Amino acid sequence: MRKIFFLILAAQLMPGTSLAQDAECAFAEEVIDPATSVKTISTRWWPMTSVIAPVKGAIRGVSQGNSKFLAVRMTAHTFYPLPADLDISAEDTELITKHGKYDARLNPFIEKLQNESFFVPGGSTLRITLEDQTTVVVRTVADYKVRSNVDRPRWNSNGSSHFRVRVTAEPRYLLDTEALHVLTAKPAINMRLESQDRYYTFGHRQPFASRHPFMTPLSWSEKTNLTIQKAINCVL
Amino acid sequence: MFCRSSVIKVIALSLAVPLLFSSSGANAAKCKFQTDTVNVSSGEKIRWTKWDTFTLRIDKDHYVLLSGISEGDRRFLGLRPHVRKLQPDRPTKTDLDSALVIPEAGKLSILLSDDSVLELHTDKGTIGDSDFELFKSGKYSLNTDAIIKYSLNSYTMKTMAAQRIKQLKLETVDGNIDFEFGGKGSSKHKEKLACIQ
Repeated sequence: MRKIFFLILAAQLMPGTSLAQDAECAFAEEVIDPATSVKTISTRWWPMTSVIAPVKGAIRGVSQGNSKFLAVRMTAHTFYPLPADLDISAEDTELITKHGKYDARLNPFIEKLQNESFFVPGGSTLRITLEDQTTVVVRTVADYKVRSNVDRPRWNSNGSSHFRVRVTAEPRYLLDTEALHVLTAKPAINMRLESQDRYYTFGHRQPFASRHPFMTPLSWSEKTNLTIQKAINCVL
Repeated sequence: MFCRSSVIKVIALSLAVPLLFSSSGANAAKCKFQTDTVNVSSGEKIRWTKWDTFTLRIDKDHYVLLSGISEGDRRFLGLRPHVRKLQPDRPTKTDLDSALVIPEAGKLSILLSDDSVLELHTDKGTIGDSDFELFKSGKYSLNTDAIIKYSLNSYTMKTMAAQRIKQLKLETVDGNIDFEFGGKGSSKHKEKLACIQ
C-alpha cells in the first residue's frame, strides 16, 4: 500500500514522465463553427509544472482554421491591499464570512480588479525559454478575462490589510511560422505570462532542489520538458 | 629478479589504472551541464555548466549564481544575481520591470586575490525577471533574478583561472551591486571555466 502511495506521489511530482502525458496527440475538443464552418481542434491539457510549484501551468495546442495557437492555463495566487474606502474590521470579517455577506461587500472592488488589473490584454506576451537558452515571444490577439476566487481579508502585523486572490487565466497565443519552427525544434524550460499588472513565471523544476535563501521567478524552472513540442506537433 | 620487477610493475599498473579512471571520473563529475545542446537557429554547440552558488557568505538580500558558458567558439561567464527588495506597497509592473536592469555593454568589475581588477562586459542589456510575495509584516518582497552573460577572451580566462575572486561589482542602471566573497575569496569559477575550455 505504501509503495503504491509513493509511486503515485512520484508520478505526481514528475508530470513530464507520467504515462498519461506520453500518450501521443490526445484531443479534448473538436468544434465546427456552424456559421463559418471553421474547425477548431484542441489537444488535452498537458501540465507544465509539478504539484508543489507556486504557479501551476498547463498548455494545449489549438488549431483554428489555418491558424495555430498555444493555449496556456495558469493558476496562481496574488495579493492586493484592501481598498481604503472599504469599511471593514477584523471582527467584521469573521461575521461577514459566516453570514455569506462578504462577497456582496467586496464584489464591486473585485470586479474593478478583474476589469483593470487581472486580465490578459490583447498583445500581451508569453515568453518561452528554450533548452538552448534562447527565447521566443508570442502574443495574444484578444483580451482574456481571468477567473478569480478571493480569500477573506487578513490583517498584517503593521495594521494594514490585504486579501489573497487565486487567479486562473486561459489565454491563447498566436504562433507564426517562426514560432512554430522553433517551438517544435526544441524543448522548453520555462515560460513567463504577462497580465495587465504583473508577470507569472512557471516551468518544470527538480522538486526540493533549491538551496537558496529566497525564491525568484526562475528558481522554479530549471528543467526541460517536451509538452509544448508534443502539443504543437499534434495540431500541425 | 625478473619476476620481482614484473610483480612490482603489475602492482603499480593495477594501482595506477583505477587511480587514472577515478581522477578522470571525478573531473567528469565536476563538469555537470545544465544545457548541452545545439542552438536551434545557428546550429552552434551550446554548453552551460550547472548554476552554482558563487558567494561564500549568502547575504539575506542578495546572492549570485555562476555558470561557465560556451557557444560555438565564444566563451562567457554567466552570472545570475538574485536581489530582494522590501517595499510597503504592492509592486507595480514598472517596479517589476525596473528592479534589476543591466545596461548594454554593462560592466562587471572583478577584484582578484592579487588586488588587481579585471573588467568584463555584456554584449547586450538585460531586464531581470521579478516576482513578489507578501510578508506577515505587510511588506512586499520583490524578488528578482537575471541571467547575464559576460564575454571572455583567452586573456581574461587565463587571468581568472589563476586567481581567486574577492569581490564582484555588478553595474546596473541604478548603480553598482557588490557581492563579497570573504577574506580568501572564492575559487569556484576555476572549475566552471575549466569545463568550457
